[in-house]
Amino acid sequence: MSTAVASRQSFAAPQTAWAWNEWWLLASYLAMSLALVVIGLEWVTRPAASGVPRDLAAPLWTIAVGSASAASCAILGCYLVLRRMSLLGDAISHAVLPGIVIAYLLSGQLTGWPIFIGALVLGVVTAALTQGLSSLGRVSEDTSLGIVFTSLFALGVVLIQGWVRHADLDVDCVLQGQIDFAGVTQEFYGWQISRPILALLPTLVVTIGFVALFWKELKIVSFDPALAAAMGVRVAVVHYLLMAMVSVATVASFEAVGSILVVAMLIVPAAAADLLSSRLSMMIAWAMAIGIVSAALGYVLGAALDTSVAGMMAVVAGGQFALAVVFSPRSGLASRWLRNLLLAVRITSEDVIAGLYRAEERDQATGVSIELSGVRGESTRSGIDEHSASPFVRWLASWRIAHLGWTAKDRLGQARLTDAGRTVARKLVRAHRLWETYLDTHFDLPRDHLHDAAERMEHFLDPELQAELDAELAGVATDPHGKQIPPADSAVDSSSLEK
Amino acid sequence: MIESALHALRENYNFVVILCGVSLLGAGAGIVGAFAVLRKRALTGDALSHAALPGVCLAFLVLGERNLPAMLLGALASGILGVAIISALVRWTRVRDDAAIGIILSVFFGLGIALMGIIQRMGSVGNKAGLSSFILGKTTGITGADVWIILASAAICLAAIVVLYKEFLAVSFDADFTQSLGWPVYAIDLLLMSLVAAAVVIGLPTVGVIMISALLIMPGAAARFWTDRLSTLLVLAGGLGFVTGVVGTTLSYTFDKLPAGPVIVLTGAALFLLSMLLGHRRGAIARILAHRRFRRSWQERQLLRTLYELIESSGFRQRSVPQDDLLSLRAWSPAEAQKLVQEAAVAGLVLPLPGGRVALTDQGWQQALEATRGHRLWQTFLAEYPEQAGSVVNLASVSVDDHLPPALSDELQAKLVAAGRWPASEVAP
Amino acid sequence: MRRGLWIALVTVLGVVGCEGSPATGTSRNKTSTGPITAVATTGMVADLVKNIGGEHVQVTALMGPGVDPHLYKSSPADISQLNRANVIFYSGLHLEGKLAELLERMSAKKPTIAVAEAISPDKLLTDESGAHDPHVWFDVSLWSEAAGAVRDALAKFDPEHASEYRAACEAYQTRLAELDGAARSELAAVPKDQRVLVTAHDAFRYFGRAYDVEVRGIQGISTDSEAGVRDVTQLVGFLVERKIPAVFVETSVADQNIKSLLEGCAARGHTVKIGGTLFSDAMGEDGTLEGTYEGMVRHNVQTIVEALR
Repeated sequence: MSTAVASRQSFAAPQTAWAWNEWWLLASYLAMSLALVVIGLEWVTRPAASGVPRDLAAPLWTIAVGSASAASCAILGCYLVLRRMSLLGDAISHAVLPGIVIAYLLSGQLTGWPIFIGALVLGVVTAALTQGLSSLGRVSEDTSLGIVFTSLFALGVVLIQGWVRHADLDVDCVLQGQIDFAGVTQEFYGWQISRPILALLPTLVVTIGFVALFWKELKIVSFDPALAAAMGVRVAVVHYLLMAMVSVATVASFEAVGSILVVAMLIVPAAAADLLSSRLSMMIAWAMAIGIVSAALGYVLGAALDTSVAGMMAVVAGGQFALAVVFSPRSGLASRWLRNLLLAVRITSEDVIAGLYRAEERDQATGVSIELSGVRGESTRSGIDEHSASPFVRWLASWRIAHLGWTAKDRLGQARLTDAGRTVARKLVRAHRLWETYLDTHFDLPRDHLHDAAERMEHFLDPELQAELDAELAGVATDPHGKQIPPADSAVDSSSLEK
Repeated sequence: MIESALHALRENYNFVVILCGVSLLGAGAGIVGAFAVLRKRALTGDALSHAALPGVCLAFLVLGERNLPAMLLGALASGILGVAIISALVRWTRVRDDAAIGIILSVFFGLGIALMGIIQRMGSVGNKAGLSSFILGKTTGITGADVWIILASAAICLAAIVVLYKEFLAVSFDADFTQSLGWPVYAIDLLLMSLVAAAVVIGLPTVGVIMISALLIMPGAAARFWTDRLSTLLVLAGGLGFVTGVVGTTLSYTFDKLPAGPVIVLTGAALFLLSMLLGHRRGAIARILAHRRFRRSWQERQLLRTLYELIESSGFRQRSVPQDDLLSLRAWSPAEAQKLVQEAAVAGLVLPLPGGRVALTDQGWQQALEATRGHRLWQTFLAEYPEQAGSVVNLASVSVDDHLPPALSDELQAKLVAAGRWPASEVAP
Repeated sequence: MRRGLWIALVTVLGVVGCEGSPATGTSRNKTSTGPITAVATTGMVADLVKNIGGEHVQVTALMGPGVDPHLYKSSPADISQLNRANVIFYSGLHLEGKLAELLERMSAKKPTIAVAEAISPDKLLTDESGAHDPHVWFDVSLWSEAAGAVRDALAKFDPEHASEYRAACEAYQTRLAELDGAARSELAAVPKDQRVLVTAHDAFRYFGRAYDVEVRGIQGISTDSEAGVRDVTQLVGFLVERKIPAVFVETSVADQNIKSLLEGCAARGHTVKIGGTLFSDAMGEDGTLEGTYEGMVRHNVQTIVEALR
């Protein structure tokens, strides 16, 4: 019985209804951001002088390339955040150094495919070594990540100092592209396109295809690695595939847009999305949306301040994360505060009218009145701690009581319970006393401990549960303190009180 | 004698200074970093070295020139802001440590890069070349003054750890429980992470990003393989950090073309690998050996139990059974069965007889009884109380008696005796 | 409902895509009057173009004064400058890293010229794996050769003023030859065994070769590279043995690393001072003497000569 009560306390709305709300929230967020972006673009691309044509190609291409890279990073980032490996991107950005040095030593070229392949191999090696180390040594992933990337980078420097001291080989310069370069288009089979998109669009498509193909396995791997391990080899293979996929996408994006953007987009959108939804599909959708908005808004801000676009994209992503921390409907600080406030107001207002009801009962009359400003004193009498409700909550509670018509002012300007208010109050008192009786019969609690528990429960017992309690108690008429339990039926009640 | 030693010291002044600086830094960072590793925040060092950039840029913007102390103060300020946000996110939202660290790393670094971009395009604000790497030192650049600074900061960190040892211990192992005791978890956590931030800010201008990240992680992670006690762990981490510095610097001094910082990092990695393999608490070899020992004794018990069951099914007429019968009850290959029997024979538990039969020795008989009893008690327990299996566990436990309350074990035994399935020693043939 | 959402999204993306495709970069316009818009990557290249193009060319440098080409971060304004430019000049030999790759690809649309790559390869220094050292501007005679590439490019792009470009280039090359000779003679005044340039990173190899100066760097060229403890103690031993009076810091590299050298020498009873700050990868502020290539070279030579004499 008690477990049943506890489980009912979670006000779980039907899953599908909430899912639809989430989609609408996402759509309106995207629409709002798009409007902001359009306004911002309008402003930053305004021609310097009249007669000069507005140059939209560079901004739009930059945003498109940024979005493509942000979207694929955000999708993979969701899995990394769930697997507590979100810093893999940053680690790879350092760890590729020996790959680049070796590729240069072998090919003698500072540009092109050899360097890219060297980096790619080291990206995969980083992920594999991290996994191997954490499973062989049973250390947490962040520790093994830290050990692997620092060692690999150190190895790279040793190689440089030993063999190519006079080459200008550093990761920033040789491997990493810059997102702004996407603004320069070139001819490609008769089309003017931006070259990075040729690498990033396939990456995005492969990422989406991979996630769709292994949806179920990836889900198990991310949420329950122990179960995944118990389920056998294929899941492990999928996990290694995921890590390889992340390495490839990361290195490809480094080459196209640079590491700042990639590292940020692997972590921030996914972490924000994790606050916004508990369902994986929804989380991925949010992460993509946040990534794309970061890319677009980041470009606008970067252009407005004439500074690094990649840096601004990371900052915008951080801003959105902050918004999610505060305003997420599920777990945001503001929404938590609001929910607590509403609950406190409801409980306070219910406590007040329950107190009025008890006073009426005690005085055997319907005429007990209080001044609304005296809510505080009445609350004390009705049993809530004086300090539990702030003046603001009490003020809202008194407003709610008046607004719902639970009390009305008499000729002397004092509030009395109306019939509607009395019905509500009676139900509360009934719940309170039923619960006390239930606790008294089923648990070996001292009598003076009953009241506090019931004081909390009375606000959460719905009629169904009350009926169950009533049946269980088989029509006991008075509570352990000897007070009458008001009947559920109102018609009986008003007569019985007024006699 | 002393004269010649002093002369040698002067001849190798840089080596001595680097050795002192790096080993002290290794010890200090190792101790402080051990906490970060325990709290699953091993990458805080890496994150903070990126997060320092906006502070550096702001200090430059305010002063209009490259001034190392001011820029380090800026780095410290943005580092502490960074750890404050990390701790707050972990404490009050459901964002986890690694994601919080990653967010600070990428967003602060992004902000720093954006500020750099703005500075790059400003007119005359002094010399801004190499701003982003300005506060990053190289190990070989450690000077005498640096050594004193490192020594002083290490002493302060150590003092803080000694004074607040109990608080740090509680927060590192069970933050939630500590919270429920009413301790100011956030403040303690923030203080602990500020020590890490201080280590990073001392480390950046002396040894650079990668090496300070490594020195914070490797000693603590390596020490974890040797002990479960925090006090021992801290001493060990400090010691390993110190050794890392000494060995790495000496290597770089002995051989040509070995860059100091990277060699120290690789030395730390080697120490970590050795600890991971050899550590007697959690090391891989110790674990694999224990697993193998356990597996062997488990198989041996299985063999004895199977022999007992075969003898039981023959009505206890004789103490030997044909070896091939073993295969009918277990999924062993003939070769596996042969190997098991041989190993058990070496241990003096069974006696291979001519004609392909296997007999139990007296010792083997006693152990077979025990193994079968344990197995049947466990079986009955699972059948009677399946819902409690998870709370007692260890399916393959050596002795059920250790895991079941005596009353329960007696009750189960009575059931088995009633069913005639309790292996009793007196029926021995 | 869900499908509606997708359709909306696709439409938005479609609109964005359509807007993107028809716009193209600027193409050169022969009928236009006024100066040619040129973009140069580093300050050194911009200075070269300024001197040869004169009033006919308006040149801007992407990397302003004091910006290290390795650490340059682009911005949207830079990209629109590249897109609008008629001609683009860059140093080349991988100095600009990924930016150079972009510029190479842009050569289909407009002339992009890597000035240092016009120098004949046999005069270039190579690293261990065969790639050329890009820091050619430290050798004035090589830089003078690079000037020829600017002249040819401008003459080809703007034949109308070709003769003026040739004349300006000749005049500038004469000045550079004088500068080269002056640098050589000033440095020759320093005794041969004192003529040693010790810096934090190994970027001065061309300078050493051209002016017969022994060059020692603590770390390699790459910003990621790092010295060993043995390298440093050996360098200290070298400084003490040869009684070198000064070492030098660079504008774009942190100077902590050089200070340990001073201490090491002091411990062995030999005082070394920091001889001054040399400009290595970037020039000084616009409007100052060091803000031009010639001024920068003079500054470096004077600093070195004064400190070592």
